[in-house]
Amino acid sequence: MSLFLSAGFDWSVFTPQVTDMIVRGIWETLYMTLVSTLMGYVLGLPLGLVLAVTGEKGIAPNKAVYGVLDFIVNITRSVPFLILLILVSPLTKLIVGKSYGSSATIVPLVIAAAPFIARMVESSVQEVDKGVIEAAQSMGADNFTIITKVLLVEAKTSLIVGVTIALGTILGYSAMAGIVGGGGLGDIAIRYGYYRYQMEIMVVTIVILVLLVQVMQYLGMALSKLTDKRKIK
Amino acid sequence: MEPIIKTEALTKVYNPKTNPVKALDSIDLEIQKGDIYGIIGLSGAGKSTLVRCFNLLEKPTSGTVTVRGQELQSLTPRELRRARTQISMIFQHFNLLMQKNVEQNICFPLYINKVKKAEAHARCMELLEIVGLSDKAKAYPSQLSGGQRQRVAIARALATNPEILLCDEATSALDPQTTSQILSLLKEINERYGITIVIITHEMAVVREICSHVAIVDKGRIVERGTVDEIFDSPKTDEAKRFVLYREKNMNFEGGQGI
Repeated sequence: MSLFLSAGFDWSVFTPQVTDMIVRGIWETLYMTLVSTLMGYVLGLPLGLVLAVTGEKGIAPNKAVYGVLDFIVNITRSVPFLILLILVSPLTKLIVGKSYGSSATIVPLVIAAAPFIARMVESSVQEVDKGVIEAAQSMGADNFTIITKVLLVEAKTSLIVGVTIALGTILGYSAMAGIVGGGGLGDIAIRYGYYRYQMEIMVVTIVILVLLVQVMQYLGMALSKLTDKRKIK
Repeated sequence: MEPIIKTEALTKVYNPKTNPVKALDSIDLEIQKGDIYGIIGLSGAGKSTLVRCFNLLEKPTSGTVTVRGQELQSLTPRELRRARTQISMIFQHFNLLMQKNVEQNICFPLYINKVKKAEAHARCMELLEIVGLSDKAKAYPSQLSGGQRQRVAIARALATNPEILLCDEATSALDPQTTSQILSLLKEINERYGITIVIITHEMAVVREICSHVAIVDKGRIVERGTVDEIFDSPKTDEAKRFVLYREKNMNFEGGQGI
């Protein structure tokens, strides 16, 4: 807090217009983060499940399928987000109609998030006790039943922690998109703070970003604890 | 009478290409309906691999496994899943769904068999009565003791009215008193429902307490087999003598205390 009170921090720059802009920025950031995470899971959850199932220690190992998906995921994950943002801008234009603003940012965000989410899902599912899977097999469960009723159920806590990590990471990526006019708080921080040297606006937007991550982290961890039945006494 | 479980020249080799380890070496075994058949051996003897071949959780390298007149390796995946509903299994570490409560665990095999919810609930209550946990339907496994968890696993294994119950070191993680209780429950189930039980163990006390027949496994082979009385009265091989003598040495711990 001392930062705010220290000399040189000029509150007068927060005119109603600026405040409105920051409030809009919060909504844009939340919109980009939540929609991208949701769509990231629409792609990443099945992809992660297929990776876990077809992997060497999965319930239906398949070297060819795993090899191809593993390669695609690694390639997508190794492209720096900022480069990806620019690389996919033609595709973004095709889907959204323009390549700037928060809706346009969702396209590269989803492309970056999906493989990252797939890896987290894969690792969560791999943690499921092999004995429980074996028990289900001994009961005559087919692979679909094992995936939906054993793997997803037993990995629940770890999957929720994964969602929390994904939200924080995607929020960070969305702020990075500010460089190319991606909208949201990151955009404001870059335009006002970095380009115009208005420290006050930059500091406030960053503090809000920090708070958003904190709240998401807290809610995610609380939810994972609340739904975990392995530790209740 | 046709045996309910029969293996012929059953062989399992791990890592056949890189570093071959013969876990099972040409095993011929017959288990009759209604038996409580003990398979005993030291750890690494291959007994666990053997029992996992009875429901094909482990795929044999060669030889055949015939259960209830069906040669398991010749079945399609769908037929094998059907066959497995008649060959239940319980495990050393219980292998319950830790995120699901007792009732949901017991109803899982019924769900697999598309039994209606109301019917499954009624069956679950019946099973909880049998294993003596009627008040625990809504409890989670983490709230139960080891013995209680194994009772839930037994209830779950019995849900589909199987003809065979395979027990893979089912009492090895339990204390002697709980072991004794679980064994008498298994014996009761065998007597009341005529379910054939196969027990894998490294403890002679377990065999003595409930088994009718026993096979001694060593280095992937069955070295001696017969009724429990025969083996205890006149063990022929060194391995059998070792197991029986070990039990003699531990006589003071008899009376449900195990070893």
